[in-house]
Amino acid sequence: MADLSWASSSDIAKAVASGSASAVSVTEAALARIATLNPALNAFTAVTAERARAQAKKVDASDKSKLPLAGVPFAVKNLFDVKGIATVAGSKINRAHPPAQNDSPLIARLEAAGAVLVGALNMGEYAYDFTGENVHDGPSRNPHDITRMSGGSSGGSGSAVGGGMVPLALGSDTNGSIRVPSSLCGIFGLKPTYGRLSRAHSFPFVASLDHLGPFARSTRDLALSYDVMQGFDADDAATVDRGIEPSLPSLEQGISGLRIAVAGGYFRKGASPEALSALDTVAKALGAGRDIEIPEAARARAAAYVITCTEGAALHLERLRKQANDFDPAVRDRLLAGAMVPSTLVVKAQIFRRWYRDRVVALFEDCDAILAPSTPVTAPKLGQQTFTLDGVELPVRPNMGIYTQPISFIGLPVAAVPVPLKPLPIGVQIIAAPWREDIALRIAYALERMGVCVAPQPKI
Amino acid sequence: MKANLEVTLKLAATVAEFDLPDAAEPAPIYKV
Repeated sequence: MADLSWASSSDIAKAVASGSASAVSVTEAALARIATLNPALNAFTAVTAERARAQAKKVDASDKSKLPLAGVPFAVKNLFDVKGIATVAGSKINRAHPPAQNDSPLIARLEAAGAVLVGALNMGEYAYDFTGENVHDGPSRNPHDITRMSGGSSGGSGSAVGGGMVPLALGSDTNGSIRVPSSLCGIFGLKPTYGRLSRAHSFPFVASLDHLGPFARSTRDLALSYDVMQGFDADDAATVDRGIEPSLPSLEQGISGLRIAVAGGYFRKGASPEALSALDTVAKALGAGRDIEIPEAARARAAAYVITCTEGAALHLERLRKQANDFDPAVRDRLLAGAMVPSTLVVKAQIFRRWYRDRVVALFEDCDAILAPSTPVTAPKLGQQTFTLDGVELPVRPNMGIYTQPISFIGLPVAAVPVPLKPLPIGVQIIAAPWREDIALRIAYALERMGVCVAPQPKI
Repeated sequence: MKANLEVTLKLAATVAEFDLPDAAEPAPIYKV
């Protein structure tokens, strides 16, 4: 059997479908990699080996030509319900919860396509995090330098895919939690349009901002997994019944005819030389010479911040009252602050969101995609408390998402692509109009074909 | 916690001071 340790999901599925590899052998190899690498990376909080072996046997006994993800190992952030495991969401408190009775529908859809769940992944407590650090489980580590952050809150997802343990993982993104780990770990991520993928049977953070989506080492793998996860779900009130709009058929269409702009102003202020270099490299490769101003982006980030801490506080109020000492203090104190914000300010932030959404969506009348940095810097050191942006010293934890928050605030789809700078990679956001994930993925694929955006293989 | 509240209120103030038309966020409307 060929070495599939760094293979893409699509190559694994092809190998399994052709019979040159079995789902069982691919699964055993993934479990062995996890056993070898996880002590260093700390990406997994649970390994579902028995379940994985049973699913792999089932795949091997099936008509694999009908399974687009035949034998592909994947893992999920531990806020997804996995039948038989408590959904801890990175917390100590939820460990007392009973095991989940059902799988998340996204897990079920991936497994129906032949994928094999191998475990649950580390994350920042209750997803209120951009670092990948966790006081209960320890930090998930950056595969390119294990003394550095993986990014959060889906840090385990970034670490597991970037570190080569699995080719595919799922995470959540409320303010940047797919795009930040993608950037720091040097991989691809997709945050779909708000309402596209079902969030049923996942532990929420901020219902009006929460999205779920995939991580992978190639654009094709994002598209493959995204396409099979689509579809209305009555169990999530936010999902929109648009039918399935597959992205794979147009993936190789190229960028001819697409109008691509670069976000200026706010999105360049504070960015490190590495972030600007990556953005400029991508823009040049795409021939995107036009700068565009996303209006009031700083205020949008402020409003997202307010809605996040107040909605998050409302979700966790009873836990804050009864079990305050069981929280990560950094998370608890932000939630407690959110509980004290006057409601008039929250309503103002919501009114602003409508105003802002209408103006940003109007920008797409003149362009098809907007480029912006994913993070202001490459991966900080674990434990690093502050960094300097635009001459101002700021705390790392809330400020890694300054460029992602104004986008998820209004639910726009984003493909996050890695630029393999040395010594550390950094990401760029490809932002599209609502429901145009296909365009963001087309551009990401073109960049990958040009060799501009590539997931670098780490030396662990 | 106090420091977090100060940051949050400062950010909230930047939103609150932005002049917006009244009733810009209507209640949900049944469109079908």
